Amino acid sequence: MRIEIPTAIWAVWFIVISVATVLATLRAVIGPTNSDRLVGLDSWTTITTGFWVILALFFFQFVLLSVAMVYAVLSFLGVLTVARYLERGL
Amino acid sequence: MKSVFSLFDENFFTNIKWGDNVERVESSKASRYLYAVLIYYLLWIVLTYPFSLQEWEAGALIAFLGALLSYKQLSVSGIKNIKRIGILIFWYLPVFTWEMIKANIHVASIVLNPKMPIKPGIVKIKTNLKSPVARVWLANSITLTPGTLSLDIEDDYLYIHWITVKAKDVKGATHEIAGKFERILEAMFK
Amino acid sequence: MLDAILGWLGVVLVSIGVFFLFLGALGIFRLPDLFNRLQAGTKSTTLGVVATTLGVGLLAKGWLPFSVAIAIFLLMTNPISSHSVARASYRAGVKLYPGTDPDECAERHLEIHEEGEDE
Repeated sequence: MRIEIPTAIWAVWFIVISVATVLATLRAVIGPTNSDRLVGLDSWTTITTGFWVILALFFFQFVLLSVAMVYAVLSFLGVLTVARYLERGL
Repeated sequence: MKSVFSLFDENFFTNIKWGDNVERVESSKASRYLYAVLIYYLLWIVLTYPFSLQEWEAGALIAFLGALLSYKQLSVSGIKNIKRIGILIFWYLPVFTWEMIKANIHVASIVLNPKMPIKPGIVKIKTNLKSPVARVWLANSITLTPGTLSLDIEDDYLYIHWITVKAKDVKGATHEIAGKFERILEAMFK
Repeated sequence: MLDAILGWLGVVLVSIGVFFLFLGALGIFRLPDLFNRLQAGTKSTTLGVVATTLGVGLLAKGWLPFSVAIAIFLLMTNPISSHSVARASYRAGVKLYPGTDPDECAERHLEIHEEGEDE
């Protein structure tokens, strides 16, 4: 890493992103219709991609960045498939 | 019950009706093949990041073979796309970045406001773009700019969900939403 | 010196990104109807994850090419997935927020519905 990041900044990042994940999960659980749940899932996967990237920096492993890339590809395909299912069945 | 492979056929993006106004100009096969090789090789180099000569040799072989399999699906206009990428970086990207920052400030002002001042509506806009790819770019740009979300497309019309409606008729809405990007995309996909 | 400047720029970018990710989740939780939720969700989370990725690329030496690749991929695919979610849920007949004023899509939706019943 180029600079030493203070522990307080790490703590703020992790807490804020955890709260965001919990909020998206709540929408995915209580959403009145299935489409609302899909919206919750969509943003949940995007937030989690960001979380993987920050984890890659925290553990300083380049491999975790590749994990984030694969995660982004798979979540995109998953959301597209579920949307197609909602539109006209599989 | 259809097979799993029906997920990957050409109807994956559902039944879009492009209308009669669409032009799909194809370049020669050689140029499309060359473009596919270039793109795959670049992607290989970036994805196998810690650079080494052995990776590059293997990448060259795989790029030539992989392009043989899929150059028809990758691009329609082949090597002409290089010029478009130039326009994309030097003209489209600054405008787009600025619009995206404005969009996020707008979203923040709505979400953080306790009263949530929204006045949503679904409007219809007309586009002059001819090529299908240009229309996809237009829809993506509209989704990421302030307060608009592209909902559906039919013939020359796009249906837009707008979070604070400013103009209800087709002409005003077109000017307000698509004006900026249509000029750039027209120059790009000429 | 250059390291310090780039590093703190990366910290600022990651902080902005994390804040906007939180804002997107809050918008999804608070707003009243599906399409408004989708608007907040798509815009904020896209900017958030792109800023986070670019910031991490600046913070660690030599990670920039790969993180730019991730950022470009996310910028291209996120609007597509949100568009497909919006269209699917409109056609599935999700109820709109009561104050939605012009609804130009309604006639077209009716046509599609009748065609579907004929099949």
